[in-house]
Amino acid sequence: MSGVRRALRDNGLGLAFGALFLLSLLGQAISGLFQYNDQQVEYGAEQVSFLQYVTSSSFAVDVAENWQSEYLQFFLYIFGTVWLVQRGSSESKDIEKIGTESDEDQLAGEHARADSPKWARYQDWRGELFSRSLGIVMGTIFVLSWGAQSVAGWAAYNTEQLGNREDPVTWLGYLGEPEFWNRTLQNWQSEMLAVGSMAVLGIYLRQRGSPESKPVGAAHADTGETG
Amino acid sequence: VRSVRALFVAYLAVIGVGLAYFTLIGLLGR
Repeated sequence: MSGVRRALRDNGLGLAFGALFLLSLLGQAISGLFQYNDQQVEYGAEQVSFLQYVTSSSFAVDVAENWQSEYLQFFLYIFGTVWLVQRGSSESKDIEKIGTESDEDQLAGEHARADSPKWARYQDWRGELFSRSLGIVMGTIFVLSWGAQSVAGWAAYNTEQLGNREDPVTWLGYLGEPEFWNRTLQNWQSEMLAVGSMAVLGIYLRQRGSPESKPVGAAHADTGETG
Repeated sequence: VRSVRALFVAYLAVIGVGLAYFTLIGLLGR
């Protein structure tokens, strides 16, 4: 197998979803432009170009509001699954393993192996930080993208306010607007349902070959066994 | 292994640039 083919196979998941992300984002930009210009015609305002649209707060808030909810979902899932279990779920660990587990279970500190990451060995702040790095990064991306949603949404909201000859609001004022919370919560509700479904539906349903599922023949009562 | 690390860095870069970009657009009030 050539080096390129091997690199493609070894990174199939990350590359495929990266490509799907870019295609979907392009599709969102194109359809969003058409919708935006339809509205502009309705209001008797000037139509905008593709470049003007993708540099507008209207586009930015639409992207950011979806980002924040996805990262909130994974952040909650990553931290939640440390402390919460679901009997029978492939997404859950064993019922007895609730919590952050021992260093022995986690191959941390003095139980680190020869090929363990260097920071897994440290028993100071570096070990503490590395052992929570996934959740910290996902949580940080959530907070930053929610922040991006708030400022882009604020700018888009004020553009609309001015178009309607109404007063602009402050950023804090926008955080109290129903629009901000409607944009936020309409995304959260679907993420929470989807996450709950992942945890619960996998108890009785299977997907052969997927690590997100238990093996086809695993008992419904088996918890935390991935296929 | 090099390609795996490049993919990891690319993901973080896309997310970081995206967040900075959307925030900037909002702050500029465009």
